[in-house]
Amino acid sequence: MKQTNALTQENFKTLLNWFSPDKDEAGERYEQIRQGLIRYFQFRGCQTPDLLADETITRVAVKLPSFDMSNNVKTVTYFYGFAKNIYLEYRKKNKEIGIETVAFLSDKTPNEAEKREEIVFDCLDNCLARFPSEERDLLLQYYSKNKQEKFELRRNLAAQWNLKKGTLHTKIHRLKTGLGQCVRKCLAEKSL
Amino acid sequence: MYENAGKNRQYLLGNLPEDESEKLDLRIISGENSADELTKAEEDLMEEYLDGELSEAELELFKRNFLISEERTDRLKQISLLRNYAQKKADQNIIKVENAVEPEGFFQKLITVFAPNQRPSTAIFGILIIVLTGILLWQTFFQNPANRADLWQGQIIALNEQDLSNLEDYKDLTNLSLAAGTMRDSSQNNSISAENLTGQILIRLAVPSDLVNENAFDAKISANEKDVMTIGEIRPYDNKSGKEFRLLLPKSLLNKGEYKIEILPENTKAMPAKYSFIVK
Repeated sequence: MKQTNALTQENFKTLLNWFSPDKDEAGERYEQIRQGLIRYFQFRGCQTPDLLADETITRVAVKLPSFDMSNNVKTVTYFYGFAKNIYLEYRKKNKEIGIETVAFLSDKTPNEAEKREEIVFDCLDNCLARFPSEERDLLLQYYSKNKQEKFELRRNLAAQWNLKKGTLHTKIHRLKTGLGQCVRKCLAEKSL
Repeated sequence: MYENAGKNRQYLLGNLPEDESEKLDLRIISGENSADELTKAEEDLMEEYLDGELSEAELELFKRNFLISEERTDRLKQISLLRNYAQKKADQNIIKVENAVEPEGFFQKLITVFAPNQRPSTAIFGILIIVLTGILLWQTFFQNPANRADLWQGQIIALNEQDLSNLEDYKDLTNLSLAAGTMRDSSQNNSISAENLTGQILIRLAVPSDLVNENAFDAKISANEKDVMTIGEIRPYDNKSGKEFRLLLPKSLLNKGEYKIEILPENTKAMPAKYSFIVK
């Protein structure tokens, strides 16, 4: 990816002023745009969404004095134009990633994979034991069926917990994030 | 909430037309699009991949455009391990139950029929049982819509994830319009002839008034009182007189018999809508 001139204090001040003359509002708007750009790069499958978001902001800030402000283009549209270019540059540079990363399921011999799975399951045992039993059961039930059976199961779980299916998924995602952190720590301790 | 599920899925696979993709990009950056919805679409795709339910073309897109970050690969690994772990735990419970209920299995009983100390007539009887059982199993498998749905479920789900809003695209298909409620006249509107079906059948289900404000549904299909499959997250479409659900089903799923479709709203307090039809 081509490198942009570094963001100077002057550029940054101009950028914030472009968002709003009010400092607090400008700060808030800056954070909203940054978070939006992080989400964009994240859902586009980029490796380092926060760095790419910062690179976008830097490029916009550097080019800001040359923008024609008379045509009432939305702020977010300017950022998107730059973000899209950065994404295309990123994909060009990383086009080979996809094929390689998929290999993870078959990159070990059956014995190695089995051993590794055992260690991961030990960590899962330990980490899940720290969860409240209701949430632990919910998480395990949620993933206990595959294919077609999972739809019915998850519908029933949502009804049981009096949640909408989307809310149930968000809850599962949150539980999984906590579990993932614990399992990663556990695996690091086992040097895996 | 999930009426954009199909669109989000195509976006993540990098398969959305450029203009729609740009609109969604802008909605993501400006925070108008729910990150939860996209996260769910991501994980649905990962589970479809693990279930082997992605079509060949989707699998290619999944590898080329979706599974391109360590973060996603890690999440896929996590879901895969969690599913194995959860299923192992579930299986352990099931094994205990099965052992308690049925200590001697069918095959153990069958083995005794072929034991060397049996008379020839007993052995012939045993062979006959196996042949008949084979025929019966074969017939049961291919005559049962649930088994056929298992074979093609990925295809059926994919069919119904596409945008079905333009009816012109489906005008050449067998169309069946149904209203919710009990079967009023099975000889007329609620029946179709198996001989005249096109390769796919478009089923249009009028949305009852008490469900018009809901926007996320599952469609549960049963045939001759047996569950066939559930299609998740179908959406209502606008029509001239209100709203309707649209389902595309392959002809291969529909044998002669009585079919029921239950539309289950995500809001579990709302009543499901029930539709029936007969394939003659």
